[in-house]
Amino acid sequence: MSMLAKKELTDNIKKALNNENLRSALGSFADGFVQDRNAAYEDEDFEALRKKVREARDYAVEHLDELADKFQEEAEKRGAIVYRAKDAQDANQYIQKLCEEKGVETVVKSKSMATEEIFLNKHLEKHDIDITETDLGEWILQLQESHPSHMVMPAIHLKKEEVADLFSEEVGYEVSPEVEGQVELARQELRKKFLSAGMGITGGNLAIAETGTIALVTNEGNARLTTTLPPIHVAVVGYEKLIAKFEDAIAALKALPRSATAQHITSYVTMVTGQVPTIVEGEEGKKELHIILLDNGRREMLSDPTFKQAARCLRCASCLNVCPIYKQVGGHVYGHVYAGGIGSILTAFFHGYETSDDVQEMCIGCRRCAEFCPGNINIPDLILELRRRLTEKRGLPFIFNVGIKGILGNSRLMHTGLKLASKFQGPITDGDMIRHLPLAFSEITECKSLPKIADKPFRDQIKNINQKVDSPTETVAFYAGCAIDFAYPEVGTSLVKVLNKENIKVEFPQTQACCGVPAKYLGDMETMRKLAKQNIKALEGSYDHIITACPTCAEAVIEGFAEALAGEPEWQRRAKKVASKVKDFSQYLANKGYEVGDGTKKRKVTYHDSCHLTRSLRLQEKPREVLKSSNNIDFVEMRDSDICCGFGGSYSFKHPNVAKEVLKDKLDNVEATGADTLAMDCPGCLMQLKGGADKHGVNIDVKHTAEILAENL
Amino acid sequence: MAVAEDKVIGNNLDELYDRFVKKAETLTTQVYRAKSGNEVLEYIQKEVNELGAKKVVGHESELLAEIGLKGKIEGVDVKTKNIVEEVETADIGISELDIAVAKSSTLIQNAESYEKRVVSMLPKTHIAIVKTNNLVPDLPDAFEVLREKYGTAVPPYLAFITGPSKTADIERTLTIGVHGPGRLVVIFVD
Repeated sequence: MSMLAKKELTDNIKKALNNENLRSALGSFADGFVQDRNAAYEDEDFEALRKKVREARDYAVEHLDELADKFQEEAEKRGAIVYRAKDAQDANQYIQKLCEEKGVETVVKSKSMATEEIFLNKHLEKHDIDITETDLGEWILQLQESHPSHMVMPAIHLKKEEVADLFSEEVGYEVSPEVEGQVELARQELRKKFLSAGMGITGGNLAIAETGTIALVTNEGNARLTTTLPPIHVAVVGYEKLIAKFEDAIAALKALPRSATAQHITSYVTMVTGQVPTIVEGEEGKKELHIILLDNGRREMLSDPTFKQAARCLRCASCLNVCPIYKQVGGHVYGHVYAGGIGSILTAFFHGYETSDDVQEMCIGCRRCAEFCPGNINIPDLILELRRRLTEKRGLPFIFNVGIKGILGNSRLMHTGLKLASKFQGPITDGDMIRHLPLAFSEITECKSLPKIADKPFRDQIKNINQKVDSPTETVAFYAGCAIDFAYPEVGTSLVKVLNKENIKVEFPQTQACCGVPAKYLGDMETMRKLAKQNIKALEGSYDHIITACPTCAEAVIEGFAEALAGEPEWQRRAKKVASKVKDFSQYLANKGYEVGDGTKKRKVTYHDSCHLTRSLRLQEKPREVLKSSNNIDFVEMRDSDICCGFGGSYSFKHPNVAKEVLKDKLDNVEATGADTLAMDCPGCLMQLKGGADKHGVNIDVKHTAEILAENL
Repeated sequence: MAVAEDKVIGNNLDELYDRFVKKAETLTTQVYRAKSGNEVLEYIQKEVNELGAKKVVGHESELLAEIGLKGKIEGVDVKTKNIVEEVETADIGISELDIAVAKSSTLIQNAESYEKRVVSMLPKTHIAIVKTNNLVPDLPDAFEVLREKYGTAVPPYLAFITGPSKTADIERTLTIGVHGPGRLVVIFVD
């Protein structure tokens, strides 16, 4: 990304984090959304519904030309004029010329992301055509000369006082900051526009090929008026909205409102099929209908084997609503029409790859959005792929190039370097923590203290552990990962202690290296492949199991290695063989029916679900089973235990001020439980939460599950 | 789970009606059930009185023509002819809806007629008359009815209406009645 774009992003983030109105609006919304949304799905099977959405859209993508032709044929048979626009300019010019040809001077528009995307308003205004947004939120933003920060609730970032000022200026008298009156004012002002407009422009939520139908979903009723009152209707619809059959609409009509606004169905669904009767100045006639099928990068997206699944997006924005980053910064930080995770993907295709470079970086990779997406889109993986392609184009930034390729990719250099660093970190450490970093790095330690690099890494400590397991029932390899090896060796020694007690011998293959995920997350697959091979070689011994205590590392060995080596079948086979032996520590114990002895310390424990343990490995119940087996552990759940702690690997170093806010939310939830111990199964989260608790003066023991189990053994 | 509950509901009209009412209440939709045309008129009269309506427009479907709106409501002259000029300033619009979906309290209408459309869009109150017989359990059932009736020749304008017009665009404060009617009254007629 260019330095300028980077600076703009950083400035936008700062501005957003300092905007109290925005923060409180988004905070209270995010807190209530999941509950409301889940209630709306109580009478529908979410998985079954999203399967239907997925099937309908996937079918359409596979038969795109056929369905587009069919749609055009059916719509034209019924009197519509269908125009295929290749890009924004093409679509804008078509509408402008149509206005000029028909002598249209005023246009009303109902909410449509596609027309936002092509900047239609700006284009028509430039040609002296008066266009008015009729969705309340969009109208407010039009008056403010701003743009939406959310796909469904465009003006969520504004207060009623700000709305009052905008309205006062528009109508020329003082409007009070009272919502009901503001809505009534909008009704009256916009009604005049509806009654006098020469053209109504809409988007389209669905385009049904079989019947040539456009379906529109609204709550305010503005799409009904837009499609009824003016004599000409223009619908701008992306190719990805095509579905084959009339009945295919059902799943989308059920899923979209449930996921968007926790409604069973929106107040209005309007289906327009061809020309419809109208009355203009007392004359009965047929209304003119123009449908613009918009490409603008869509066809490239829909023919891309990886990104075609983005066609399943219903524009419900639930991915934004559950995103811990969006909650902190809102939509404007993303700087483009489509915000958030899915936004960076759509932006890449609609506005160009480079345009999305800064926004894709906002994703922390927690995968929560994918759980909620009614189109079952794997948003985080698509972002990683986007990042990979961007990196391929422009290379890694210099500092990462040295760090990732030069050091991470060379494990001997990295291990030596870390050992050396442990000797020279003296001036900045304070006990076991680094509480302040000098100058340029100070922002990183503003929110959390860092662990100091261990005096003796786990790889050296294990050599001196005398494992008193004479006739072991099983021999396992421990794949530690960098964080345990160099920052938290005590997690490793605890693990050995617990397993030895169960008569299991632990071996540590010394040639194991970093799992490569940091490289992958920066889009550097070359380093990922190199490390994958090295680790496969290290872990191929005749072990009964390979035990991990870091879910990110586990995910890398289970899926990441084989994925990265997809082009090399022999290596992929070896990767899969190694993968089949991996068990996460808590999973391994829980599956054995392990019970924590009553000798452990009395603790009131709350548990933080690490993103990768929960949403990749799906093991969130395993550590709970193990911890709850002790009479000495009083287990309490915290609110939103599955929301990211803000670590996200290098994320907390790249965007420390955003990560800080995510962390603060988490610590608030922890404190509210009154627990004396915070447990987790991920050393990354441990780094974030231990450091965070230390910095924020939260008096709580932050521990990996292995450490709790090893007490008093 | 409520999914199981659906099966229990089945096609019994009374149960479907109850389900419709239960959902409608959460959306502030007022629902009545009338045994006869006269009873429909009584409910309309009640609404007119309560709202203090001065001007009422109605779109005469076969059913509404049979009930006969004109001259039956005290205090107002219900307009059913040339309503396009009147509808913008009317307090109440009356029209017939074709299908009622119990689960979501949704009404579906073939709204090809321009007059029929504006009657349910422009006035602040919309009174929807539906035959109780036309209640179906869920959205897929409604699509089945539409498919049977029209095949692929779907009407040029199909309207689905669920509760009043609403917005939460300012500070997420739910406000009723933006561009469409703020009050929706549904009268089922047996």
